[in-house]
Amino acid sequence: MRQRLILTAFLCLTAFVPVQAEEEQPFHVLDEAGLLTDVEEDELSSQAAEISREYGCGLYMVSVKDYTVYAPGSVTEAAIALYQGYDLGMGQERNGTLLLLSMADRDYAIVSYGNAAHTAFTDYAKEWLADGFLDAFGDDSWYEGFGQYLDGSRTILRMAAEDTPLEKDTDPARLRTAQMMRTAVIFFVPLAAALAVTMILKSRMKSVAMKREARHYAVSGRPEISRQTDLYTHTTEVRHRIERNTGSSGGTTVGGSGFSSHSGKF
Amino acid sequence: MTTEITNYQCPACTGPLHYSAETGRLECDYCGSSYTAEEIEKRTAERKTAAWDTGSLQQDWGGEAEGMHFYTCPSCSARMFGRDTEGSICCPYCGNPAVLPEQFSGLLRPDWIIPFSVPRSEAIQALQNHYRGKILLPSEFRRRNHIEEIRGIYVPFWLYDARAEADLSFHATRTMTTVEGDYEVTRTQHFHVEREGSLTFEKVPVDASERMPDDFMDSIEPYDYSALEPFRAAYLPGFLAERYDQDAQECAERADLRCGNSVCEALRETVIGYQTAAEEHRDVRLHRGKVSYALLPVWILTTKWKGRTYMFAMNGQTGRMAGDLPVDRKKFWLIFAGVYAVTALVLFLFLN
Repeated sequence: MRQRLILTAFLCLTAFVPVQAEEEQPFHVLDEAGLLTDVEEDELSSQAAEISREYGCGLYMVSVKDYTVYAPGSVTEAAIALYQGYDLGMGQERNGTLLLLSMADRDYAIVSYGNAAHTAFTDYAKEWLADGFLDAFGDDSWYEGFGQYLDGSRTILRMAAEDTPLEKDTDPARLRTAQMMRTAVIFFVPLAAALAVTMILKSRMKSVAMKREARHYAVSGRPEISRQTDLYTHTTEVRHRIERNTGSSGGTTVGGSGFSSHSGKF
Repeated sequence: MTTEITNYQCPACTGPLHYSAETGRLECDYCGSSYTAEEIEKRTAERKTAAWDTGSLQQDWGGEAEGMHFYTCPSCSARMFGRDTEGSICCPYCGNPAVLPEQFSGLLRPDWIIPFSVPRSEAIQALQNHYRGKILLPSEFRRRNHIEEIRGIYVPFWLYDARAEADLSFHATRTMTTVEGDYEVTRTQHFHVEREGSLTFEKVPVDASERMPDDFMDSIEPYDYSALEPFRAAYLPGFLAERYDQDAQECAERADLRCGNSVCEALRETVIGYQTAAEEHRDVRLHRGKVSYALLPVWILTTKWKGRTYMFAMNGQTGRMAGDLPVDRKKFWLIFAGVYAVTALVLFLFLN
């Protein structure tokens, strides 16, 4: 009896796991614009499938000639339409992130759906992800750009799995820079202070110097002014946009449709 | 037959001027200023006539020449004069006791003299005071250093009277920053500012002794001219007076520079109400006046430490002391390390 129960439990478990792991995905790479070779497409597809399986969050890459064919509004709306149209995502919440490239006006959009995806792909994480691939896409290095999208997504998902979603405060590069700045401050400020103090003390040891003026011997302390002109000539103006630190609280902005997004041009 | 070649100089920057056939003016390649031939000739003529007036200097000592002696040091070639002195005379520069008396003649008679009013004992005390508060002074120097020699010398000075005129122009700015919506707007108002004016100087001192370091003599200035008296040989006994070995024209360059800089600085101080004022052009004209010859009192103290001689000069009237002191390298690096360590620790605790 006991053995039967154990077997039943094992069968239930093994029956569930393959369903999760082998959840049917319509695609991971959809290259309608023809940017990739078949080999490249297969390779990216298999990488995306592996990351998706590992973290339970689908990763998708779509290239189209013109996004307006899918949605007349914006590139983000087109990406959402594609996501919904193909019923993308993994698990009950349909977690996933899609990168859409539209070649007509070189637009791109990243959209995420589902709580797990929103937790990992924060607003900051999406910007960070885009910063990683924009240079490659700008140079028409499509395979390299999609590869960077996958690498970046892997990092973002791994950090979320470790309960430290990628935000300004948790960005390893920023943390490294801040640490380097701290080290530099701790090294250089005391150096400057020590140099200033010792140089002031050293300057007090010197009391011999040539004089370059003779004001003491002037009959009157003030000069006799014979001509004085203060002529306004022109005004110059410099405008700087004020950086508002609106994203300081971090997190993910989710729209009414349940998608969070980031878009731009490459 | 003599030929005079005149190289015209730019009044603004002293660069060479050349005649431009296109503009019919003399132009400066360096600062871009241009002048008519009449303007330049007028300025050159002014410069030629504006030599220092040394007419009042005279060699007539009257009855005072009696009892005066002229000495030359065979060791350092210093040339001094003094009244009948008791005992031996040492060279105030190198300390050589075998100075040679010569015939006293042909020497300019000083117009003015400021008698010593700080006694020898105060000069010694002043040197001790000079060491005070100097943290980097080696303790050994303070403790073991002894005054080798202290000598009172009347140092020859030329005193120049002059009026300096200057014409300056500046590019001045006023900046205001405001926030307009999402933008920080910085508006800078630009002004062309001109100042022309003059400053009159009386008795600008320049030491006339080649042997006496100029920077030491500058550093013990100023002298209080209210104590300036017409020269009397009666003030000399007990001290030696050095004979000038640079004439008034030779030393005039330093007076010119100091008067020129002073009038420019004084005019610059009248440019107020601006955040920046960058000088664009300056033209200085000197109206050189009378030169007089004075003997001013200086105590020279020398000390020896670790085989090196340290010289200190003290104004024999006001007691102002000048002289560079040695730096204790060990103390320097200890203080450096201490300040570094404390600051680094505070920053480390604050930042972490």
